[in-house]
Amino acid sequence: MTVTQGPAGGRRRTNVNLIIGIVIIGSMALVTLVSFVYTPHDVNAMHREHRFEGPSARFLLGTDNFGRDILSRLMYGGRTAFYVGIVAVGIGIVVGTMIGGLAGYLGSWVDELFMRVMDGLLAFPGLIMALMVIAVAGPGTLNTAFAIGVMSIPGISRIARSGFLQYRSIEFVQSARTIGVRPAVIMAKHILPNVMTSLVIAGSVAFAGAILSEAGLSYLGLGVQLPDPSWGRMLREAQGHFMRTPWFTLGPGLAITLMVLGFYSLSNGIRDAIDVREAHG
Amino acid sequence: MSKPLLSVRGLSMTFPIRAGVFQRTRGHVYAVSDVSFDLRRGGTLGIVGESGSGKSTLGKCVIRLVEPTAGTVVFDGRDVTHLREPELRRSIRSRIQMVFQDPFSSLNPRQSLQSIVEEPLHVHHRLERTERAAYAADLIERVGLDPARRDRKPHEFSGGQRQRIAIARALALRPELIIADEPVSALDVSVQAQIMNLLDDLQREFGLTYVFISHDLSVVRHASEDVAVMYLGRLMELASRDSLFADYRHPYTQALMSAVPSVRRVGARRRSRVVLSGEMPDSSDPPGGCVFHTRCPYARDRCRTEVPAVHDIAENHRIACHFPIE
Repeated sequence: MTVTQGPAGGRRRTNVNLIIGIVIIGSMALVTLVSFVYTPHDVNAMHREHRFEGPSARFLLGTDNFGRDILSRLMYGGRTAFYVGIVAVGIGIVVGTMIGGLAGYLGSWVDELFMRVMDGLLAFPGLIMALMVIAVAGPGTLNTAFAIGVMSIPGISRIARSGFLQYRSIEFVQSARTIGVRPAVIMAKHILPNVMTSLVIAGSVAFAGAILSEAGLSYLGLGVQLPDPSWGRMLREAQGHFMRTPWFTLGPGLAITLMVLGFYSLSNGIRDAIDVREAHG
Repeated sequence: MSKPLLSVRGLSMTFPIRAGVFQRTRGHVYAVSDVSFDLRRGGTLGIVGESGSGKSTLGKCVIRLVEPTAGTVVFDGRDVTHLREPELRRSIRSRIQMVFQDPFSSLNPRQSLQSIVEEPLHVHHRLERTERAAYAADLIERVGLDPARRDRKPHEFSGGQRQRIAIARALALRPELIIADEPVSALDVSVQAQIMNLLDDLQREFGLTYVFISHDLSVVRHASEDVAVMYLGRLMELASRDSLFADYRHPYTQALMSAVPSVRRVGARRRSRVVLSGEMPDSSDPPGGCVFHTRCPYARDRCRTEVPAVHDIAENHRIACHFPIE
């Protein structure tokens, strides 16, 4: 007992990933929330006499080609990033879990049908899929989020399927059946909570992916449209002036990188935390 | 004998083996083949056999976790073999319950003790919420656990305690028949005895009928009134406990008996140690004739070609063998 419990109970290794993830995502979220009540300057105010300025006391991260404050726009862009991420991951998790869950739990032809459709979705390159949705529904923040959400369904549904499949034959699920619990309740009450952790990890990874995709689409001019600020579009606006004003690209580039890094770190951290708990629980 | 509570006739369960892109059936696993028995209300039928002998599948067919491919299961005069799930839930589920082998996977790790024990009542709308809690507490105490720990999760209990939880859950609906699938195999020997005694007491107290599945002859001997010996999905010998242990007639039973490591001799008639050679054949490719002939020390030509029918050899003693031991 003491031999096995000593290291685990005594000095559990610090979960660096989790801390990094929480700090980065936490501060990004905080800055985004602050933007609702305060930004250093008006987001769309153009200070014509201050175009292409470097960082200064008045404009902490400098100004862009129209003399707008980059920091304010970055803060505001965080809203778009989180909005797109939350909507996209929400769609991905909800629909993906339902499809994967039904496929895994019911098996047979349901599994076959759903998973072949998912394979079909997966066969399209993600960006092309998103372009298709946007071509049909038109660009805009919500449509972008929707397109990205649809893109994330196949991956999440596969994770959900394998989880439900694994638990379908476990004895406490069989026991629930012999008690007479309905299939829907078995899935929701007995299986889902046990699969949830891997779904949370998948969601966290999907969030990073969604932010990247949104930035990519907006960079191409297909995603978020004016006047909503978006980090991706800021990059696009900045690229023409890169030689003259490198800090212009630095802000949105760093914001996207940090956000993606944060969510990956968070997902790794959650996984490590769960592994430790399950190994020593 | 009065009308049996459980009557199984010609039960077979065959799983298709699917493979390849188009999931074509490449063969079958013959898990249970042509098994028949009766079980009186309040009785205990022990089913023994090696792993892979189909005893668990037989139990799952009876409780309809799987639908048998042939034969009938008649429970309390009603054919439940092909009842659909909603009808099963309505009229059968509450009357047959199961205790599983592994108390570590048979309890949902996220449910508390109380919620596990209350769930059956909740599902079948028995009792009001407040009454349920009191009833669950009673039940928890009855199986030998402390009701004060009702908010604890399964991982905070030992293996034996977990099996008690599983028993409390199975008991919650006051079922008539309990299928106990290797209920003590995963437990320490000292704990095994406690759980066996608990099952004994509960049987007397609630008039339960047990189907007791085990690979352990001594456990089955302790628990059962009748004993069925299975091999490769088929019934080899079925007799009352005393006549089976004192007067077994099937070569396979003989081999099982002689394999029991015991200070005291289990089989009174043991003449010599019979050690079977080889492995049990693959149940997807069972031998023709008597399924046991490949390992039977007494096999003759007839055994290789003709499947022995289960027939009465004495009162309450049936056997599937062309050449029973005298």
